[in-house]
Amino acid sequence: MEPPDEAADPTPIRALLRRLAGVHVSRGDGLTFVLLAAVAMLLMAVEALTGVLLALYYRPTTADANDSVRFVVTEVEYGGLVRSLHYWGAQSLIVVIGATVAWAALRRAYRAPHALAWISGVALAVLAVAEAFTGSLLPWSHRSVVDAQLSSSLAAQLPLVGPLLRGLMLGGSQPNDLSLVRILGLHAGVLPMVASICIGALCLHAAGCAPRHPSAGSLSLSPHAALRAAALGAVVAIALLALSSLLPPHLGASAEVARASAAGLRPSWYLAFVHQMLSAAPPKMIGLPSARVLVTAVALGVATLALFPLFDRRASRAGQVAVLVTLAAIVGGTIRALLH
Amino acid sequence: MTDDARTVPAPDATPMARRTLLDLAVGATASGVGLLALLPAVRFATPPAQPTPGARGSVVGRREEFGENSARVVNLDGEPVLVLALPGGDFRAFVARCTHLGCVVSYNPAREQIECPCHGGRFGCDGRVLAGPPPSSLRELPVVVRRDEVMVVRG
Ligand code: FES
Repeated sequence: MEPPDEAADPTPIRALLRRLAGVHVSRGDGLTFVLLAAVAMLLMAVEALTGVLLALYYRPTTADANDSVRFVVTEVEYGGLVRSLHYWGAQSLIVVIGATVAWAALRRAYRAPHALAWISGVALAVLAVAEAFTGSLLPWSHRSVVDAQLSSSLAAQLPLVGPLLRGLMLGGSQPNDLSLVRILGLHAGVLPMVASICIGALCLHAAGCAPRHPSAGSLSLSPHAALRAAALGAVVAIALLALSSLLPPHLGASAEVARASAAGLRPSWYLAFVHQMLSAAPPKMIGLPSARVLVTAVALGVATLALFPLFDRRASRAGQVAVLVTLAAIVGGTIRALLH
Repeated sequence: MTDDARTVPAPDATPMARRTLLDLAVGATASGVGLLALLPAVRFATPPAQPTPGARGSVVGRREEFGENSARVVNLDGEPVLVLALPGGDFRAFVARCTHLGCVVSYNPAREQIECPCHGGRFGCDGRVLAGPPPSSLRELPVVVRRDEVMVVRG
């Protein structure tokens, strides 16, 4: 097939559409990835838009943050809905990106030539959790205060860089007046920037991979795959709207850092399994405080998962089993902790 | 799927090795420069340490305000302190941050234990670990009772 003549098209949009029409994806894996990526993109767009809106009223100080979020929810028109969409969009994004990574692992899509895409995908999953988590700190509710303290202590357990990380995140060893500006900077600046680098890598990869010619069992990206993605996107959007209007996230009152007790609070679902591991551990493991050992192990585990293609160049069966067992442990641990 | 990327034979070993060396040199220089630039940024982002005040006492209440076998958490300059009135009439004080991951602990008078809500750490009235994951005892602070005033000394 001749490449379409772009010069003949008067508008860049039409030229692009014609080019996309030449790109084909396989009906099985190709289409699945296109659909998952489309839903993730939709959710990211929702997050970006509602995030910008929420930022219009947010004041990142320990004294004002809680009131400023409450003002959005109680006074600003559609404020409750915007916050709820931002919350549920973030939770869904973790699930969708997590599912994409799991699917890629099942299909062994970490082997060459997909290594860069796999690394970017795992990084995006971690970033989605980090975004949800930093976002949960911003309202500076009682729960945020406890979580900020607890998570920074967890970060401080990492060898060598731990205390430095905590200092950078909080601007001190305990949550203080500098903390919220930094957390906001992470949430709305640093993490999205890293995420967009990962997305850029994924786009380059996809552009390089997509076959340009139709074959048996393939589907043109535009319009066939795009229409299916649009239909799925519409369903997801409606579900998200319904969820957001029916179940607005709770906004607790603020609390004093030095007195905020964790009694009666449960950790967020995406970190539940880490907390359960921490509770079940003995005080010392291999002669070191158990929290230090566990946090280091979790960090190493995630890093190994991300860099897996570099360790397992032949994409062995044993490697796949290791990846699947790790993912199953995370999912199983989360479900167990939630049922607990 | 075939491993087409790796089956291309290198035409000659020497230029390949040279290229690897070049790659390595460029990579090392780039990361070195990057790290050097990062260093002042990290230093900048670390707030300068505030001078810590010397030892001093803070009055946390009057003796009769504490029931026997009771405790309260007070905020002393941003640090939670658990002041414990023991059944015998003695007082003890601890930094109320769990030694596991720093959650604020509280006193359970029924069990006569100090408990952490985060991962189930439990401490005795002497601050020693009884159960759960905390690796060490709570930090104790001296208490002085003078003219019925309970004072905690820090520093
Ligand atoms: S912080 Fe107290 S038991 Fe974990």
